[in-house]
Amino acid sequence: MFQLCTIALTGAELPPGSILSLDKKLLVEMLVYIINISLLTGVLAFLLYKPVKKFMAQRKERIAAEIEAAQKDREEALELKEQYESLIADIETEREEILHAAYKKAMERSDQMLFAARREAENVYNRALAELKTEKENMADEMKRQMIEIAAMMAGRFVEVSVDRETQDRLIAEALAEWEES
Amino acid sequence: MDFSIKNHRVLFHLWDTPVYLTDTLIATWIIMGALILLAVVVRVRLRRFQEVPRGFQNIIETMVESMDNFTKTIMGPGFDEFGPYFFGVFLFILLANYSGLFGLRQPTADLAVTGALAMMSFVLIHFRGIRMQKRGYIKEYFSPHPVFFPINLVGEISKPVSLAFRLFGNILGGVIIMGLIYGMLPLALRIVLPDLLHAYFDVFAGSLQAFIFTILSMTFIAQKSTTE
Repeated sequence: MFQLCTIALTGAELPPGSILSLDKKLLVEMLVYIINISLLTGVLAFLLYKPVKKFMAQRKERIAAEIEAAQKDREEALELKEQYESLIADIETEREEILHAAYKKAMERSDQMLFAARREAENVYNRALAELKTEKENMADEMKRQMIEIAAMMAGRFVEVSVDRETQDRLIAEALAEWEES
Repeated sequence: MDFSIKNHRVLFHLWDTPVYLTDTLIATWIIMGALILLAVVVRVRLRRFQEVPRGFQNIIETMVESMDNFTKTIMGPGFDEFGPYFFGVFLFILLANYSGLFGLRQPTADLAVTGALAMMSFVLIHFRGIRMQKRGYIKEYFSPHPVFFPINLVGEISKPVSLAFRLFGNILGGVIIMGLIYGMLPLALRIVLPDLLHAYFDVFAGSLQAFIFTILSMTFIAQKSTTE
């Protein structure tokens, strides 16, 4: 075996080494090693294990806090998105309602206008018909009057030509008598 | 061929027993030094750690996170305080097992080290068990019937013994086999041929034993802490 670290201080009074000795020396040596190992575990615990674990725990907490903050931000963003989508939906609904109302109003207005126009047309038509009727009546009257004039003129001419003074007087007298009777 | 752990000098006496500076203690201190240096480097560089880990930071974070997840998976919730302990223990055993690759005497091939590790687990098992179960802890030794008390007691004592001897035996076995092979091979063949065996005994078996020791200790602690 390589024995690199042997110290050449072996004196004559030193007992020879042993592999295994179950005696008081073993108990004393065990106590020495217990002290050594306790010291080592203590140093390792306070200089290495605990500080590194503390560092890792703090980092874990930081990361957890960051994750929590990120989740919170995400939730807020999602909430905002929902609000935005809800607003968009509301706007859409409102737009639909406005459009619908406007369409309805326009339709009503259109109906009103159509109705008014139809009534106006009807009025115009009726007026025209009335005027036409009046005109027709006037024309008929005019024709009658002209026919009467013509007839009277023709009758006058005829009388002038064929009836003497005496006959004229008799006829007038008869007519006057008829009027009186009626 | 000598596989014994050599004593280099007496460091001090404890209860009239000399404590020697052994190959194992030297290797342990080297491993401790390397790991403490790594911890210091991490602590210094921690201020410059980035949000997105890369390179060195990535390796350190992976190590810590893996152990944290491993502790939670094996022991369940409520055992987070064991993460740092098992992180240190696992790294120490792993590097101790790998240290053979660098010519050091593997500390885990010394029963004193594996016994110390097992004793620490034993203390944690029962300390945590008493804290969690309170009266139930004692009751468990007499369960399902008081006649089982000796068996339960032996079962509890055998846990650290098995932990210590499993790790010690596996690593020492590798040390002995590698020593024998190095002894058998002519000098020219010692460079390439033992590589595969090192990969098995030091890397594969080393990782496996570090994992087994850690997972068993975790399981025992979690088992003892669960109130029925």
